[in-house]
Amino acid sequence: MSYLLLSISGHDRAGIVRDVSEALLHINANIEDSSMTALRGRFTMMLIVKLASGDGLGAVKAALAELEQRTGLTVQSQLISAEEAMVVPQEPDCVVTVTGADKPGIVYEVTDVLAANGVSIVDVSTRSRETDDRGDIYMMALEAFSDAKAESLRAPLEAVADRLGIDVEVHILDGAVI
Amino acid sequence: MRSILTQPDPRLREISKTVTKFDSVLETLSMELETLMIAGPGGVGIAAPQIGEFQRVVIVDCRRSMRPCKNHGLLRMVNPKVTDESGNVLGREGCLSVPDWVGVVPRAKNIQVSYQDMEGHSCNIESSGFEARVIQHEIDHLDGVLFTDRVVSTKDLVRRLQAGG
Repeated sequence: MSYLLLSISGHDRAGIVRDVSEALLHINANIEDSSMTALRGRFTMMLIVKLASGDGLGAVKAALAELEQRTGLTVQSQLISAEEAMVVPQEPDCVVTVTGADKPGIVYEVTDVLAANGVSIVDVSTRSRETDDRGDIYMMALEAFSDAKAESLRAPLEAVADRLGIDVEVHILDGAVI
Repeated sequence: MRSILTQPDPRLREISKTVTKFDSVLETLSMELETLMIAGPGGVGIAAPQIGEFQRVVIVDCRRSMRPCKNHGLLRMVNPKVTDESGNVLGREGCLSVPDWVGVVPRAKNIQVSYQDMEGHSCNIESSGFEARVIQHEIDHLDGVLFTDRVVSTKDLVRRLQAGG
């Protein structure tokens, strides 16, 4: 069984997901996991698809090239291992939220602390927004798996917050079936 | 013994009725709920509608939490209602009725809850942290609300930061 990672993007308009999923349906490729979102004026899609057994990679590549040509989307693909395609990401056990005046380096400084502590990021969203009085405000929410080490992130993240003049909060998610 | 209703059973969306009779039927229901809660993996709470009994009864027992937390022991709450709340915290939730699914849910950090005990006496407690989360989750069941209705993504969190800023 072959798995393909597709990275697709294009100038945002109605119908992009339809166009892509239609092309995938025609080659019997099943969407296993995906992240699709509008980043500013560009619609972006990352998908893991399972290819129909029997179909040669050539036919798939041809279908994707046809999609690219017909829709003007940028389509990139790479084969990934079945092992990678099957992994279920760790459930996050902490959330880090960041707000502050936008400046280069916020994402780096915050994630450097996480990486140094062996904390793995599961999902990140960011946004910046113009305000009338405080210039551009940058916001980031980050879900991570810390393996119960989230408490040890507080001190170094506070140091980063002080240095950059931003707010950083660590929320520890205690999970239990209810 | 009845079994626990699971998504997408439409009965999980029903609104439960106020309990008016404090009798042996209620006692039996409460015992049945306790048994099912304990049988579930890591179950710390259960609500009557989860077994198709649409009465405002919930059982909470946070002594069973995998991580120790401040709690009131076994709570058998009839007609529970959050009367006051403060603070906002994020936590991870799962549900016996939504197997194999967990998500990040914002809840009030501290709550005041009024309810009746098994004899119909009025009670009031203050709860915070994990137990408060469990109580809010169970009361949601009485109104046909599942935690999946309240799950937030990092995108939602950023929107909340934006609203707050």
